[in-house]
Amino acid sequence: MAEHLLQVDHLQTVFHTREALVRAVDDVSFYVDAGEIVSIVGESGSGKSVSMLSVLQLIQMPPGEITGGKALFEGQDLLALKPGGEELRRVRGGKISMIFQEPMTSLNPVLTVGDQIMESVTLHLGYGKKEARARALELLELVGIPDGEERLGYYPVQFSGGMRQRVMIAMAMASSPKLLIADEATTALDVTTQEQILDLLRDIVRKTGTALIIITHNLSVVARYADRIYVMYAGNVVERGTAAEMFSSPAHPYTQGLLQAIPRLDGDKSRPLIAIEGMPLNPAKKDGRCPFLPRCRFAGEACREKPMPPMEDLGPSHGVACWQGAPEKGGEALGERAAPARKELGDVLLSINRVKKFYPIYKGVLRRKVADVKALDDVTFSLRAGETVGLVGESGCGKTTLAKSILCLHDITEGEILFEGRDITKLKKNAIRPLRRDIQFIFQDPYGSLDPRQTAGSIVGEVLKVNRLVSSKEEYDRRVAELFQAVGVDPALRDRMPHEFSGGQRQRLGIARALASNPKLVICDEPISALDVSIQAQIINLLIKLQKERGLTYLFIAHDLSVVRHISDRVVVMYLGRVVEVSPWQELYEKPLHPYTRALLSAIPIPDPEVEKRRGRAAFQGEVPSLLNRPSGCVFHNRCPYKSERCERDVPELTDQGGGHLAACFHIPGGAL
Amino acid sequence: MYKYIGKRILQMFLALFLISVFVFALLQMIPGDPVYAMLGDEISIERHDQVYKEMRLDRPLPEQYAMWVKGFLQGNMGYSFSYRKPVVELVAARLPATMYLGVLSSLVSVALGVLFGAVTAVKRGTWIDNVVTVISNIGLATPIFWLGILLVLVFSLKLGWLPSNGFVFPWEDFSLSVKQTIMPVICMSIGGVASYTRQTRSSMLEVIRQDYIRTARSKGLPEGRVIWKHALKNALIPILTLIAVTLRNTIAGAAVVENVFNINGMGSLMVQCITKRDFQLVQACILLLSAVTCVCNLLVDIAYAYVDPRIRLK
Ligand SMILES: Nc1ncnc2c1ncn2[C@@H]1O[C@H](COP(=O)(O)OP(=O)(O)OP(=O)(O)O)[C@@H](O)[C@H]1O
Ligand code: SF4
Ligand code: SF4
Ligand SMILES: [Mg+2]
Repeated sequence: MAEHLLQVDHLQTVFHTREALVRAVDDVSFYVDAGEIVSIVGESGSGKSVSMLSVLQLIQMPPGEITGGKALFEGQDLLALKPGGEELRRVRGGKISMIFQEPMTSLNPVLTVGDQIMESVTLHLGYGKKEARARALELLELVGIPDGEERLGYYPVQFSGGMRQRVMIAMAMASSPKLLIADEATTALDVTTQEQILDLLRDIVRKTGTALIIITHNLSVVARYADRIYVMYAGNVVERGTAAEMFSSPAHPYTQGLLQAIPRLDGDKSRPLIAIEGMPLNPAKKDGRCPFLPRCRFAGEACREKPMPPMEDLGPSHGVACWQGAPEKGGEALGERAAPARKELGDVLLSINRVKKFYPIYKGVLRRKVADVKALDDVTFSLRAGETVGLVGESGCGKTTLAKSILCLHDITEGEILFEGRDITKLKKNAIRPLRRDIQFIFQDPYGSLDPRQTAGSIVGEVLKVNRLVSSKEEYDRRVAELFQAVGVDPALRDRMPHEFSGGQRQRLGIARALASNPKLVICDEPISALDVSIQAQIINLLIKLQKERGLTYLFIAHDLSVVRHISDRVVVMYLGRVVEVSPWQELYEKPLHPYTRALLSAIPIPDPEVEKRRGRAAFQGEVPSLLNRPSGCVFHNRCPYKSERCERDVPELTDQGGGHLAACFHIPGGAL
Repeated sequence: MYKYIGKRILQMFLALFLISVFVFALLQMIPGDPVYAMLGDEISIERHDQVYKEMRLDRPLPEQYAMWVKGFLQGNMGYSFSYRKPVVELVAARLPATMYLGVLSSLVSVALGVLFGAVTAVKRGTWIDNVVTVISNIGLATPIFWLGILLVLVFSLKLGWLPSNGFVFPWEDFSLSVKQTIMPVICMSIGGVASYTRQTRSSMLEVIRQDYIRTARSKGLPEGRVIWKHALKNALIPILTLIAVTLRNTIAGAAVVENVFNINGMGSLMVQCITKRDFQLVQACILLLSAVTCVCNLLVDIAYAYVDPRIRLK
């Protein structure tokens, strides 16, 4: 057998916690060859990070302990090396480098980036100061940071998230490692920045022949970049194979489930998302049987009686750990392909007209106003009763500011917001109260948004009491139980505290709370982005079902365009406080008009390597500028490939391009203008 | 950076101005005639009037204040009636000893505290951690006065190793100076060592969990470099804040320690002048000590900006 660059065999890592022994990594095997991009996919807590950290003995010991296995790197077993010893340290950062998830916290804030890069260089290459500096400059160039000379003296705070991640990559590449491990390296970044960083990593692999392991929960990312894939679930590798095999003929029920649970940008909207029911298994609760058993549709007698299924080969590269071999793909049959019901839309419920929200900036001792941060600049669109409008944009584009304005949580600077024809921005405090019943909201963070000291029942029922919507104790109990049922949480759990629920359940409680007052409009601010992939589909399906039953109107805010497309009737795209495009959902993917929308769409990978190969990609440069240095004229002009002189001078208005499809651009590519 | 320092200096002068107004008002608040209050009732009327004029008590208040500040800046800090000497002479004789002890014990506190804190954090959960933690808890709870007496009892009276009182500077008599300063410095720094240890330990534990420490380890740095270069500099940021707080305690401690060990410093001077109602002396002492504290705080702020680029770059 040919020797692999890194070959991990039967790795086992446990954590001794007070409550239980957590088998975080349970008999995991994988390998990587030089110049290969391998991806490890799995949900939060599935043991992806711990596997990698274990290989380098970087897990915290105690409570962690590596209880078995081998990690052969160039023939040498890394797990046999002395912890903290010279030899191990030469491998760490020298031959194997890691890039971590949080670019904001992974660099030392009190040392210059130059220091931090040069430290790696001198440590592993034994360079002197001058040579190290030269090498650091070379590295900055490699990762696409201009003005290296000057930037070396910068501190991490002076860089944006994307730039910091580039610095991390420069640091990781300092010693020309044989293997680069990127642990959720782009998860915290904006969609367009994520694309740039991953492209950069792939270019590095091609240029230098370094092997790359991408750890991620995002299947779509994998489809675009990986050669081979390992799928992890609750500490086990459940399936392995090439990207093509994995996406065209997924074998493990979990892999199949995941692929059916995520909406695709190019997907058929009538395809219902098939959620994987239940929660990911907590590795502390493993019982030696197949970890997917409690959620598996195909589970049979054998699965209940036999121990953990071993990895069986299906082909030279494809393998699955399942007693049923590769169960016949049942997903298609299971999801009844209901034609999307024609929605009956009512009158305009909410209309947002030329809304501006400026935050003044004061400077100096006299607190003189020096500028405005234009968080919202001339935002106009409307929602009709029963409609779902998706609002997308990268971080800082003003999505949450807009949500707050609609909820009357702050005053707007200019413009009007009409709810059922009434301007709600000029209401008195006591007139806002009844409005709160009609407009409700669901937050992003299911952990922070529920009061930790209240029981689930009183969190959901509070609104009923406050607004006197029930007249008796019995009615209150009945309504709360009904709300619990509506969102799929057992009403018997109403006396539990929020921390006793999982993230998905909490989000359901958040939805129940929002529904308590029978609102007309529900504003969902990134309601699923904090949840696991397999849970996201459950929540989306729930929201769609509730809309059908109750005729709700949604403003659905998210940064994930594929999810937005799936749930929305119309989509509003924002960039730096301005609406750049409003489009019916079908046209958004087929005929995006604004250059930004095009770039955004092309940055989003589609979970299918075949499609990915055929897809053209829009060139795209730079990162979202800060609101403080907002470009003049068209806000997008400094990143736009089509810009002309006029774009720097004039602000394009949102104009109808036919069929209710609006865009704000002077030069709609290939378009009429 | 310069803007930041400039702003801090301005703030310091503002603080000093307010303190000086307050200290000046102190004299105004004494009930009855200030001259009698200071010199006692037995003096003659002529003497009273003369002193009254000398002290410019017949002028309007703002003018009195202006003259007082002007005098102060020119080194005329008033006259101490209990010592029958110009205040300036007294202060010049006593301030150096206190400053010497204060600076020395501050250095000892920071050095030992940070060292102990870092070690206990790294060796968390081991016996070293437990022992040091217990000791520092005791240190925090020990009254200085009691500790001073205990030390004198053991090391001077019983064992006869160290002199029980007195103070000379090391450049006057090095070995005597060392012997004389050991016990006062222990007393003055024990609380500081304990609180720096605790603060360093907890901020180190916080820092060690941070992502950038994991990054440093994954680079293959030796553990020592990870701790001393990457962790400690970050952990020091909250400790700087503590320095400003501890300074006040050190000055308060000086008053007790100088009395116990019979050292002629500012602390003992203050205690004496307060008991003797020597108000001009009290005024001068408070103002001087406030000035010293303000300057130290300024230095801490500058150090802050030096350590933390997030402040410097604002
Ligand atoms: N220090 C620790 N003490 C106890 N348990 C731990 C510790 N670190 C990790 N674990 C457990 O190990 C399991 C695997 O964690 P790991 O970080 O590898 O997940 P992951 O797949 O990387 O998830 P994510 O997508 O959230 O990064 C989890 O159940 C986690 O609770
Ligand atoms: S072994 Fe059984 S329970 Fe486990 S995934 Fe396969 S079919 Fe499902
Ligand atoms: S207006 Fe000009 S700069 Fe703005 S998006 Fe259109 S082409 Fe690009
Ligand atoms: Mg992880």
